[in-house]
Amino acid sequence: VYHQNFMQMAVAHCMVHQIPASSFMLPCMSPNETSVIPLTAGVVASSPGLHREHGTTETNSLMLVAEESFLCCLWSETNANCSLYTAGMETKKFTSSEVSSFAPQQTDLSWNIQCWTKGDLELFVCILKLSNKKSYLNGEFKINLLYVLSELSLEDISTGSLKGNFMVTPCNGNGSDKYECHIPSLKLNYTYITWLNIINGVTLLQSPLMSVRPINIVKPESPLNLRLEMTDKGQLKICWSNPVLTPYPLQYEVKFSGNTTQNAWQVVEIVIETSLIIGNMLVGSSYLVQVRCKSLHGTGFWSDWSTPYNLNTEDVMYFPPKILTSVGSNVSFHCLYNDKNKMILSKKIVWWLNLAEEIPERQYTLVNDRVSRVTLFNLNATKPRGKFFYNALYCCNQNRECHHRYAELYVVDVNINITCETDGYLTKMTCRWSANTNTLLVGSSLQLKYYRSSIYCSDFPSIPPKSEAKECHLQRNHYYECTFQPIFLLSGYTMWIEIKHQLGTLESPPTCVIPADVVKPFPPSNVKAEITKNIGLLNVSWTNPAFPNSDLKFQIRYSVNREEILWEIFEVSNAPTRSVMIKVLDLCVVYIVQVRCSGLDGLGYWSDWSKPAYTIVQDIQAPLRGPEFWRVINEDPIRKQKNVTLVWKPLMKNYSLCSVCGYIVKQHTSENITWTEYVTSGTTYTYPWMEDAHTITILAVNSVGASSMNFNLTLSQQMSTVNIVQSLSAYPVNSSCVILTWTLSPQMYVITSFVIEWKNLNEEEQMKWIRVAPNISKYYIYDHFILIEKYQFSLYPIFPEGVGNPKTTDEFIKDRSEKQNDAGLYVILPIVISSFVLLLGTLLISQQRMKKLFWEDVPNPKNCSWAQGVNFQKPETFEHLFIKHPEAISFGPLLLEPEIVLEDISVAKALKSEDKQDLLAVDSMFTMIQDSEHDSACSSSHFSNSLSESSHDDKVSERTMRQSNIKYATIISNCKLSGLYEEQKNLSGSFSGCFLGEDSLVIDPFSRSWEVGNQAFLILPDQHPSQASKTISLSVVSSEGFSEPSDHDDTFSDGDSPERSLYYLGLTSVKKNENDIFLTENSRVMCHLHTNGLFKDMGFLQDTSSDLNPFIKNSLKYENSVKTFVPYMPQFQATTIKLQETTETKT
Amino acid sequence: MWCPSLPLCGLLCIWLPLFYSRPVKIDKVKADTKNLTRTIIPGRGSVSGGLASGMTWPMPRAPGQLWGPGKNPLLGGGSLAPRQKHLAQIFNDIENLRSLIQTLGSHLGCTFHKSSNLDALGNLTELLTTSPYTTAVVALDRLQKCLHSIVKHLDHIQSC
Repeated sequence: VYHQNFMQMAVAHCMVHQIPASSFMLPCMSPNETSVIPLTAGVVASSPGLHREHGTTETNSLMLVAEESFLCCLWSETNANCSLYTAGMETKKFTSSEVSSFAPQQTDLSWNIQCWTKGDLELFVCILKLSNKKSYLNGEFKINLLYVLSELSLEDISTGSLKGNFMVTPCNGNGSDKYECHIPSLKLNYTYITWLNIINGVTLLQSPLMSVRPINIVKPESPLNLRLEMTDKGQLKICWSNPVLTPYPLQYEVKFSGNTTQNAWQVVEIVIETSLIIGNMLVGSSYLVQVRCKSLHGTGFWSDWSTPYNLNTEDVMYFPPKILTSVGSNVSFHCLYNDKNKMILSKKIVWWLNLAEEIPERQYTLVNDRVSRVTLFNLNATKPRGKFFYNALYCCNQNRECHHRYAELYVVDVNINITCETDGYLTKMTCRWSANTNTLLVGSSLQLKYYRSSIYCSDFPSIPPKSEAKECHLQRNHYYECTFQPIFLLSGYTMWIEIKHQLGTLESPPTCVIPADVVKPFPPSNVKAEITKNIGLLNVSWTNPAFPNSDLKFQIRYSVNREEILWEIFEVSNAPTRSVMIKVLDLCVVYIVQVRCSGLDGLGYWSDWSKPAYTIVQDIQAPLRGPEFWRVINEDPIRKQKNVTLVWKPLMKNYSLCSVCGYIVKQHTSENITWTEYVTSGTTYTYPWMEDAHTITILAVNSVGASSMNFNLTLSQQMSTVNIVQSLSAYPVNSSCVILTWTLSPQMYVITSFVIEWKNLNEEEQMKWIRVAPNISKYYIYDHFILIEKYQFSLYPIFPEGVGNPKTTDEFIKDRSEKQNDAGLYVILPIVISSFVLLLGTLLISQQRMKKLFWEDVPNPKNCSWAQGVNFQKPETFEHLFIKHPEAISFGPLLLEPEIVLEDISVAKALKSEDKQDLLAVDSMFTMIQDSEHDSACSSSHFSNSLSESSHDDKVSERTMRQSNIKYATIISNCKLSGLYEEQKNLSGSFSGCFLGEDSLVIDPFSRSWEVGNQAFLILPDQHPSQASKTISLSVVSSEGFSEPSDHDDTFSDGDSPERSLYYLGLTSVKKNENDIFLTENSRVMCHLHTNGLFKDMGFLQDTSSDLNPFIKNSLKYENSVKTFVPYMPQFQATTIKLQETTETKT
Repeated sequence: MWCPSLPLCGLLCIWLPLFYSRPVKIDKVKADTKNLTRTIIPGRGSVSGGLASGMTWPMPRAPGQLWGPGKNPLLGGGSLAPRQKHLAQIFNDIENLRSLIQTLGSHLGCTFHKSSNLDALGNLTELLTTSPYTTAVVALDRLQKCLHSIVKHLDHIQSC
């Protein structure tokens, strides 16, 4: 009650002191002391308002006098005017002189007070500091701040409005003489009337009334974010940011300091902008800068000084030092290069990117003589390099000296795609977007922002100044998802992603979405599917979703319901009946059908597929046709009647549509009698053949009806004898296919079809049949055939009058024994081959052995003239052997040497085993080898020729052969190489010389030589008659080699022997010249002599040889030079002959 | 020869869609208005009862069921939040509808007169004080009639 009275009284008397935006004093005196103060004029009259100007610097003091209280008087540092009123509400205004009389020593208590509104505009703070007190005031003070809130200004305050509304807030002391009072939840533009109650013990001190509007005593927060920037003209400027809450314009005070000592601070300027251009005056030095602020208009406190900013311009400076930008943008950097207190001129500055790429000079701009600017165009996203997510931009000297400082350029790809989807109820729109965290800067925060236009989107969406943020949640699939609910269906939602980083804020390109355009409707419901009866179409029906109400298009997908579903899509637009008929191939299967829908205009999404609907298989139509059938006729010998069994194939679904419940067998006789039988189960029907000719028809029946198209078959005894199939053959293709071909004889009947029957005769399986068209004569039967079994195939011609006589063939698909033979062949053939190889090997080994046995008997080859100087230790080098003396072997016959060597081995063996006295010398010579000076080798091959001819006599004996062999060896040993041509005339002389050998071989004195024709001759040694015939076969051995001594008797004359085909080329001519056989005078020896006839045959031989192995031809070249090695082969027979011919020509 | 005329052709090509877009946009606005009206009346109401019945006003809908079998939404029969959501949705739809009609009117060159709220509401305010729940149904019934009227006249609007 007291407070209320006091307040009413004070306000009524306008004794309210306004709290200044500075500190003030509150002195208090005891009532005893104040009572002495005389009341003077100047007492404020009672008035409803306080008639003074606000904002004046003069502070009126008010002194409150209470009966039992101290008197407190408020005064400021400059003015000590003080008003006083008594308990009787008499007021007195003290004059200055009076107030001055209140010396501090007179006051009992004095407080220093400062009150302000905090920068957050939420809290009113008063700090009370005890500056003076008298000793009798002991103990702690209890201080309360009382206040009344009024919406009106002080002038308009009525005492009634203040009635009972005061509030009390205690002031907290910190243990010393300082107290702090708070009034929370301030209302800035309200008037607060307040006073202090100070209690010390039982003593109450009370301040005068004070009024304040919090907005007038705000102490702002310090300016933030001091930084150095550069103007477009290249001037430096210090910039800062306003504190967060600034209810009114601010003014700023900037101070600089060259060093850290407080005294060196200099206030440079008070500005009303948030920057101060300092030009280049501080370039090259280091300064500390601080800024503070206060209200530009009206009262208020200066804020505290900001955190000092170190302005260091001693070396390189980049403006801005860091840039965060988005892909595709253009950015510019400025550089001020101060190198060791020496400014680098801007024209000498070059820019490098990452110290790897020099930026082209055309991108530079000389802002002034000291500042260079570079602009980078159409930037690409920065690729993170380890921990670095920026590109470093270096400002360098022209001589490529770069300072270690660099500017940082962060380029972020902000192309974030936002996709939205409206639900089927049209009440919710969900938007999704994904950010690649790899390309985002660490510490970035993403937020979806949007702006909604009242209707539709603009053609070119842009980011408006006002926007709202939408909360999005990160999903498991790394997508952010935001939901708008409820939505404005036709409003345009312009959305973008804001990427916030301490370096700046980036925005993704905005996109505008109209929810009605991105609807994903619910799928159609009540989907039903069926195959329509009679029509046979797939009928699909459904119910549309409730939304959207616009026109829809539909997709129907259907498939045969099986394990592997192959969907087919059918699309229909805006079907008013909500159903569609689809043509399907197979009517008798279960179909699975699903439907989905989408807006007809193509906007939005397809709905999900509806729940599947299934068709039911049911009869749609009567069967399309009756079954194919055939008959089997069995004779019943007991009853002496024929039974006809009808067999038919079950009707497939595509003909039965879709099921068959039975068959009707209809028989129509020639007397026009028809009877039917209904067969419900099985596919056979047997009946006795009573009528000679009757026609059978089988109908298929299902729930809809009976088949209308059916097969007929007429059975007639008369027609069964008609035979028109001329031939029938079956050819297996493989185990699953057989080709059946037939030919028909000319006939007068019309064939309606054929029926093929086939059956495996080896197995008791049922006969199979098939009906084929009448106009073919070949048919591929596909079945499982066992190729080694025997099958029977029958072909029945079907006439309208009846079934004709069949043609039947039994076919061995493949003979089993044949296969066995083949297998035997495969076994025997390798055995034969291996045996042959073994035999050959044995022969070769035996040959080697014989070589060793008889080699020493071979005459020293060095006695032979041509062998002089030849190394016989290397028998494999026959060619070399001949080449040794090219001048001596210019004659062809030397070719035969290899043959001779081998023959010698054979002979040697014979020599040991036979009596040397049986030796005979037989020879038949041609011109070129008749020279007695020749080696025996030279004539050896000619032995073979001549003696081959003699073999026709069939009087050759083994013994003779051996003898001849021995003799032959002798001949070799006595041969001497000499000029053949020169001595051809002295045939006998040369021969005798040649035949005289070391082995006491004596030529029979009766031996003579005949000159046959021009050059041929024969030497017949003297011999016993009993041995005459033996002599002949001598050279046969020598020509064939030792390997066949015993075969000559029988095989020699066998001209058809393939092994000697070449050999007998020569014999052919011999046979033609049988008349040329010469006998010796005493007929002891018979010789064949080649005469002119032989030479005539040379042509033939020559021709023959032309077809021989090419090496034969090569051997002919020895006539002039021996350069090619010719191995020992029987074909030398031909070669020899050729050489003979050549010789003859020359002669 | 054709080079000088190229900019002219380009200019015409740029302007052509602008001339063409006007009738298209009117049609679209009309179609959207109709669709939105239909969305509000039968869709956001009920398939069976509609708004006038007062028995099936927007309730939480289950899939396959447009609006749940509801009682008067303002009387109860469900939690308040879903009902408020749907009422808010209808409010948004109507705001869109108003914008569409304004767009349509401005295409037709119509001038708008701001009518008094009291006139528009009629005696609804009075009704609301006496019987708030019934009034809601009355208000929605009026809305339904209004929307039907819009649909009915939309196709025939040629001028203001």
